[in-house]
Amino acid sequence: MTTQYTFQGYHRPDGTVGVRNHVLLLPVEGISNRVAENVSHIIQGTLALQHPYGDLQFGQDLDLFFRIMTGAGANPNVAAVIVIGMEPVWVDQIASGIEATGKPVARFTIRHVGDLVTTEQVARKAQEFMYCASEMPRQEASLTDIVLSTKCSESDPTNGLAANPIVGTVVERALAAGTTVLFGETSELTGAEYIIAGRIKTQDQQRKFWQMYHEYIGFIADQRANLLGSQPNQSNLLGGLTTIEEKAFGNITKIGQALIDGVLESAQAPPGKGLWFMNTSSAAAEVLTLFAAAGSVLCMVATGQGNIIGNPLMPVIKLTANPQTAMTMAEHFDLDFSTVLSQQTSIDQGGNMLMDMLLRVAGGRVTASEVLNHNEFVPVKLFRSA
Amino acid sequence: MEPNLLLHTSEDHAGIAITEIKAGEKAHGLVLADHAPIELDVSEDIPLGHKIAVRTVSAGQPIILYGHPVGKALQTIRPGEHVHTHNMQSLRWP
Repeated sequence: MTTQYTFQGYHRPDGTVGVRNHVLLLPVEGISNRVAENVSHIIQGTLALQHPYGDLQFGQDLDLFFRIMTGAGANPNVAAVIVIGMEPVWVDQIASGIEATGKPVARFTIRHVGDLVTTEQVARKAQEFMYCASEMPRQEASLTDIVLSTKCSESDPTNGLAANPIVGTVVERALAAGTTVLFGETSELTGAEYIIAGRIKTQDQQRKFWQMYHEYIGFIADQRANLLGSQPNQSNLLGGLTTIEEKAFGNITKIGQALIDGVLESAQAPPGKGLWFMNTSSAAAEVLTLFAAAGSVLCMVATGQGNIIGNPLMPVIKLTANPQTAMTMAEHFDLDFSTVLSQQTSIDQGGNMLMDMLLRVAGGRVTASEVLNHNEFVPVKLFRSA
Repeated sequence: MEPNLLLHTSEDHAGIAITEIKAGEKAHGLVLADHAPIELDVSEDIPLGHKIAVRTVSAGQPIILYGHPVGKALQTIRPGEHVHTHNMQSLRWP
């Protein structure tokens, strides 16, 4: 019999479950940020998702942009969305994509209206959406109903010794209970990529993985740059990680011994339950933005040297096993696992503590990243605009 | 004695200091895979999180961590020495 992990969550019209209840103000282009920000100051509790892009993007880059923006609005942590843009065509494309989830969506365009009138229109709709969202109840939900994600960041060798294996045991338990988990960081598998490939359940998905991996590594090789200092980065080197292979072997311990159901493009929603690898960079703000756009409602970030990352759409649980980091940056962590590093606490006991925290956060306990207002929303841009 | 050095597997060429260890001090190592103890003299100051060689690796030879090659030695590395970018390099992105 599998363990039932339950919490009080928000059941959405499309059957998904969220752990937060945001009213989102979603600007389509960077120049529409101002209206979203204005309204976020006027209507208490709204979330303006500001970003610099959305102008003259094309091809694969535009496809990814639409997946990110539509996915952000569709995320189960979002109760209702107002899409704001300069012209109606891209506004409609994003708003219609979000409407498919059945949640309330409104749209406003600024051209031939101006910021001031649009601000008033959006504010009045946001007020209505806030009343509506505030009466949506939290109801019993299961870990099975949600999409989790995990990332390690500003890593050092304490990640591979303790922090990541603790996440790994929680990933194994969550998968055994029937939930969905996302992980990524394509280039950061280098040295251990064959182990990940060997864990993918089907040959078809293994082929896709190798295609993604080689394409990404080819792109990096084409830059003809020395990566030492970038990947591994300066924090990794300072913390004691020497090579990409060493970093990779620490990295992959965060999925435990789990098998992988398949691979996803950046910001692609998983087509089923289980463990999914997403093709991403290893930059934390980019990766978490892509996970959230794919429907992840909660993310576990294991850090060694101390990443301060958060995400506006989903709570981020941050943990470290490095005693120096836990002491010097205590306000950034939800869990301090330095006693696991010193062998006073077992990985399994650490897993119990993390699972407990995960269910508490899912039920409403705020994370360090939330109270410190870390709202990094960083859409990935694949190439220059036209 | 509480360990101040952890090794992932018994095949590993280096362990990771989980406290600062000064030159001349002893490392009390523990192998996580089988809980075997290892003792050695440390010849350089080692910051927390950094690697200490537990066996000799000749120049050009692969360095094993997690039971797998994760780089190569740029020069001969002896037990007790600090292992980092000055004497170790990636096999994949040199």
